[in-house]
Amino acid sequence: MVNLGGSSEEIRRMSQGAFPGGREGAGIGSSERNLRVCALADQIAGAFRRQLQSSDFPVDQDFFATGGASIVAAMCVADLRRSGTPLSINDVFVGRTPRKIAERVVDSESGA
Amino acid sequence: MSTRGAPALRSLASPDLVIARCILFPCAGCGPGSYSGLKNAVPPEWAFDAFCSPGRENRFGEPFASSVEDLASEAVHWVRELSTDADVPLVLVGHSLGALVAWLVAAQVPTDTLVVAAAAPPDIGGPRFNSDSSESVEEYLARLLEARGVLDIELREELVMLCAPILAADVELLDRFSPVDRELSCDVLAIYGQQDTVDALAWSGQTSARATSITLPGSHFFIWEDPAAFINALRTHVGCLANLRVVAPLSATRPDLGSSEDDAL
Repeated sequence: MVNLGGSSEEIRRMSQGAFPGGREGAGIGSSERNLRVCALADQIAGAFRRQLQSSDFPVDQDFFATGGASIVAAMCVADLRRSGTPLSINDVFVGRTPRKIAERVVDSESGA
Repeated sequence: MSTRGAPALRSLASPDLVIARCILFPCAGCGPGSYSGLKNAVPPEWAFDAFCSPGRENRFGEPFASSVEDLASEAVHWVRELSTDADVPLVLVGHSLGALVAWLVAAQVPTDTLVVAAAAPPDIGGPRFNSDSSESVEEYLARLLEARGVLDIELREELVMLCAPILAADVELLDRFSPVDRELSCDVLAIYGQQDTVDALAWSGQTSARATSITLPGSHFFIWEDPAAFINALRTHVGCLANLRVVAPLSATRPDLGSSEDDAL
């Protein structure tokens, strides 16, 4: 099971389109988009945690402000691509937090 | 001077009890993240921060600085913000291009010691990008990334595409830089890599105080290659740090530093 990093009430609200800081996806429904963003943000945070050898990495934490460097970003991208997540190093550079990176990837997939 | 955008100083070590404050200025193309290996080597009572120039890491997308002097002006603002306690010795550390920035900052902010790494003194040309080779910024980056373990070609090309403009902007800063006379009044320690092509010269023309130079094993990037050796050199050679009494012997908390007398400062 994917840890969405929030209470069940928070996750329920997100699935109904109340994802904090999120925006409506053009190609998919907002509930579906929010769930995909949540799940992907959690996977990305997991990769950051592993590569930065950190016990915790909240989904709104800035990768670079936490000690991430370009090469570590590349390692995270390689890690995530191996598990089938199609993101680029540019997504990490621009998005910087797992949540914002996930939003970029999901919106790009859905053509938003 | 611009202080817009994200904070330019990133903390690598921020203890409650601070007996010395080091602020590091990274080499061309890099930001604080490249120095995260220092975290585990810094003694527990040192505050250690690194300067992030615009256009990289958490400042990605911000316009690049137009001159080394502009970078230094911005850095002066942040260094003053941070080093408000006059009782805590301030050590500025500059790596290659960062040595020029640190040197300019040291001329404007009361500094106890300036440490310059892998950088020729400004009066004899200062740091230069890859002066012994005709390879492009892209070729240089690809070689460096491969040496640092990025073996996947697709990933390496992607990284080169993103990082080449950052390095090229910094190389342009070096090319445009023409030093004016500035005599510091603080000690200057110059550290060089034994395998680097930079001549190991003291920065004696830049200060009225003590100027010394030492070499450490390693290349131009000896700080990354052996962070503990670099920090140990600071502890041993930087007077204002060496004279301070550390609360606990470092060997008690850092077994990798050994247990010689020097470690129990």
